[in-house]
Amino acid sequence: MIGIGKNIFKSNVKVGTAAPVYDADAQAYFTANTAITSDADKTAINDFYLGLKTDGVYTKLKVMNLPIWGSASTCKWNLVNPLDTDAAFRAVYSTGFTFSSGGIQGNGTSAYIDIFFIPSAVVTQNDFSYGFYSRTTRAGSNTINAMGVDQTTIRSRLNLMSGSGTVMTGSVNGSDNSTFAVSDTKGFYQVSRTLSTSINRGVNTYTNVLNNSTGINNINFVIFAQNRNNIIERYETVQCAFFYLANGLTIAEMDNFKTRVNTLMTYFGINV
Amino acid sequence: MEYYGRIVTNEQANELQGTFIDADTFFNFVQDINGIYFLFLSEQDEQDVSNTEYAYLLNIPLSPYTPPPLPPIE
Repeated sequence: MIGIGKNIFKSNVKVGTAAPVYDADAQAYFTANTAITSDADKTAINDFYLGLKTDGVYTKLKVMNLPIWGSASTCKWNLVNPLDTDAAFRAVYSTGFTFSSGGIQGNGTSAYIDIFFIPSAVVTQNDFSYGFYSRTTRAGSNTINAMGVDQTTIRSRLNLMSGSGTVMTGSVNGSDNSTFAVSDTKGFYQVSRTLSTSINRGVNTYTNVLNNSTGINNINFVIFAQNRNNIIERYETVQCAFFYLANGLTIAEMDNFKTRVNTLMTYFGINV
Repeated sequence: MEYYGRIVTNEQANELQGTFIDADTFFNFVQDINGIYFLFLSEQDEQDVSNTEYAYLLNIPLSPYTPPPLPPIE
């Protein structure tokens, strides 16, 4: 008889902790990237998403990649749109990369990433930014680029340290590079254009410099090299733990972005 | 810095350039200062390639590589 004696349902009741609820965009990334299994890792990444949204940066992002999961298959996901398609700017890796929990390291001869990102199809001439978080040092060189595209009179590219060993060089939709003093190749390098007449650039600290835009590139922007008129060249050698492409960011937004990235890197024990 | 890679023929490079060895990794052959094609594989690439129809490439001995000169960044 039901209702007499002990509760027949009681033995089936399990007391436990409710599953964490994450930001919807963070959850989409966790669903795609099955290498992320730790609740603590997910919480740190979730906080990263929430922080970028609080700062007003997230809505400007087109591509974010956190390549610290040890393989091409786990480091291909665009955190902004984690679909395994070219249209979602997934990353595909050429041979030559070394993957580890500290990031991805290029070989300086052939390793680059294609993310299927054609600037003219995604952003506009005076509204484009990108960044690269480098964890290691290399000597200054005029024949290496961390990321970019070069069509002679229109360039968007970043050199972490030029041959002089004292400055980074960068350009966003311009014909000329702008420089910024650096002491090594470590840190969060960012270059951004929000105006036709100047760009914001730097590593860890960012400032504005006069620089005219000349157009917008219509071939693929690549990572760990540059695409010069559809020839991939100037391969990077450092280890990278994060990179992004976005609409143009102000200096305040770049500073906030750096803080969020540094917090995430610190959580993973790989901040530099 | 000294680089070592595997020398392949022009035919091999042209045939395999851009070919994916799995869903996320593709071959990128590059030319040295003399126009000779080289293949550079990381240790992880070698493991991945060893399970594919391209495993024969692992039998090619390593040779020193001199990159072609590039103009300085303007």
